[in-house]
Amino acid sequence: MAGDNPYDGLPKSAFWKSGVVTESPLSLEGLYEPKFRITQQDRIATAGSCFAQHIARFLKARSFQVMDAEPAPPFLPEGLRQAYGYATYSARYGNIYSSTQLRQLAAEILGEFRPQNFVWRKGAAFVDGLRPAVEPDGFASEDELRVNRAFHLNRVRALFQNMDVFVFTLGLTETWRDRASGTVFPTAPGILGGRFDQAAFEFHNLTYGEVFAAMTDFIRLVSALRQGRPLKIILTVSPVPLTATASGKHVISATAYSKSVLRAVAGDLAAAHDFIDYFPSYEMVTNPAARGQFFTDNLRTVRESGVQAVMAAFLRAHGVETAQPAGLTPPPPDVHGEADFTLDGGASEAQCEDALLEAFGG
Amino acid sequence: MAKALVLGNSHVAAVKVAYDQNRTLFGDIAFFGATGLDLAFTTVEEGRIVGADRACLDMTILKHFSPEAKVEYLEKYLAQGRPSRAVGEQFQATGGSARIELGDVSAIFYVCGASPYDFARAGEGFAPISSGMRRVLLGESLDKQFLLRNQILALRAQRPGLRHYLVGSPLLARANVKADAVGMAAVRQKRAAIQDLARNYLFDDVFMPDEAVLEPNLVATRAEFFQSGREHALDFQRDAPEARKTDHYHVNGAYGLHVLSTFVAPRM
Repeated sequence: MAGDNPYDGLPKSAFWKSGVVTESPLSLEGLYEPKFRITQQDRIATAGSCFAQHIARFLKARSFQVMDAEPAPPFLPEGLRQAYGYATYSARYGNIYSSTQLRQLAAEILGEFRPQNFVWRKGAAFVDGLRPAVEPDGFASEDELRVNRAFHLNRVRALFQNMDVFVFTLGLTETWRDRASGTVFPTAPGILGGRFDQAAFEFHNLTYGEVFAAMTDFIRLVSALRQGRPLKIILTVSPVPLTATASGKHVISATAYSKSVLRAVAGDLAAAHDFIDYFPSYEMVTNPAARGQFFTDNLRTVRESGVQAVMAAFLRAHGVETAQPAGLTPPPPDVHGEADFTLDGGASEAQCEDALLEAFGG
Repeated sequence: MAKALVLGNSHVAAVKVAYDQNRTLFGDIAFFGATGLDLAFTTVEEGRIVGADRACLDMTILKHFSPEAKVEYLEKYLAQGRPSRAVGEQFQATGGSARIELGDVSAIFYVCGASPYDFARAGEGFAPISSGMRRVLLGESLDKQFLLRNQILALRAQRPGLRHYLVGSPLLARANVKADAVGMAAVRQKRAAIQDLARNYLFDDVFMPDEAVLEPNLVATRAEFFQSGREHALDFQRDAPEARKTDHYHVNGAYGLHVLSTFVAPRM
């Protein structure tokens, strides 16, 4: 539309005052307009950092077909399933915080990469360093670990081959890796098992280019697995700030760097490919209109009300929820001490290995 | 009085048939049976096992004992809160006495549908289970949810020297279960872990079907052990209508002979 200046005629979402200040943080109009719809017929796979657990949970609750390639043994008590890495994502890979970790998983499945130095000791037990939180007591032997890993890879292969939609939440740029092989781990050796040997392991903060390349490689690898069968990808960026940084920067700066890079990559990938969309969960939780109310008192954990707001927006946009879900109200500004997610009822405690860092970082 | 007692539901039939056909090979064994999950309606009184009108049950316990049973079938037990038929009558029909006097019995072999080796029937499939998780699962299936847990604990208190053994029914009657190399490695590991761990729970030991009776996949039982198994089960429990309807997993006397020779006899 012609006007006196290029901003004339733009929608109200283009302006801070009308798009943010006067809008409810629970429903920012025009913030998310899906490139494609997902339906309850689509087979959806989820993975990513711990915030992605909530996406899977909400989609399941709305009868979406969230795939479960590694279901829990039926007689494993319900209350223990998450502790063993079940019912959290579409496979038992635990949290996949980084793009390089995701690429590595696909490459390992295809036999293009053999991870090294991932069998960690934890007392008498053995820990799979590539998913160190899925066995609370570790494995009894290295052989047991490898048999479990081989089965896991088989299941993830089937998952990647059969999914219609892949929802991935980018979490971190800060990674720990094996110096010799480049094997990337979700946590630093020494936290959930193993021992941090500076000669063997190193910290690496991914650059924009590395994240973009890793995601592009992942798409190529999965396409090879699927022999060209179409796939839709929805990317999100975790709104959860870093628990700790090893970058030498202040944790606020480190968080800003990490989220900026991930957000930029997600946006560029979505702009470059018709089959990739970006869902702005990061913006929904962290935007100034929310006034930080979606975070609990540790200013890091996303409250259930925040998760509900994000997922309600997602579902509405996909034609599932046209109204606010029952019981969902804007968070009152003076709420303090709201309980974190519990295992009972609709909410759930997200499993985040990085939270363990709090025990080390004070 | 017999030195050993074999007690169970319709799966006892295979062992009983084998015993009757080869009585000279084995010592004195008493057999008692009650259909389906009726054994839950028993209690221990002064060292004897007797029928009871009521039992405290829930779906989890029933499912652990009979994982393949339809929910509707199990719900009948919960809804009625009673056995399908008086257990004393069933003991009379199968063992010749309405109550089980333990006398000189030094070992009880519980032959039934549930076993830690039924990991395929229990829905695990070929997924590997770590030793840590197996401890949890065994604790659930044997220590917490086993149908006859209270009776065994009572017997342990009243007859401390008595040993208790579990003989599960075959894993699967179908021979068409296939596993790739990864799945087979998992199955071997599961079997080894169960063998290492199972005797640490409610029972002194648990029967493990070996390669002589299993398909190469180590999950399904070889087809030859199912021939006429159903008829034997019906013969042993001829008054049990439920057994006729749900009878897909009963093995024959050849399998029973294997159980007797490799597991029961060495423990008498």
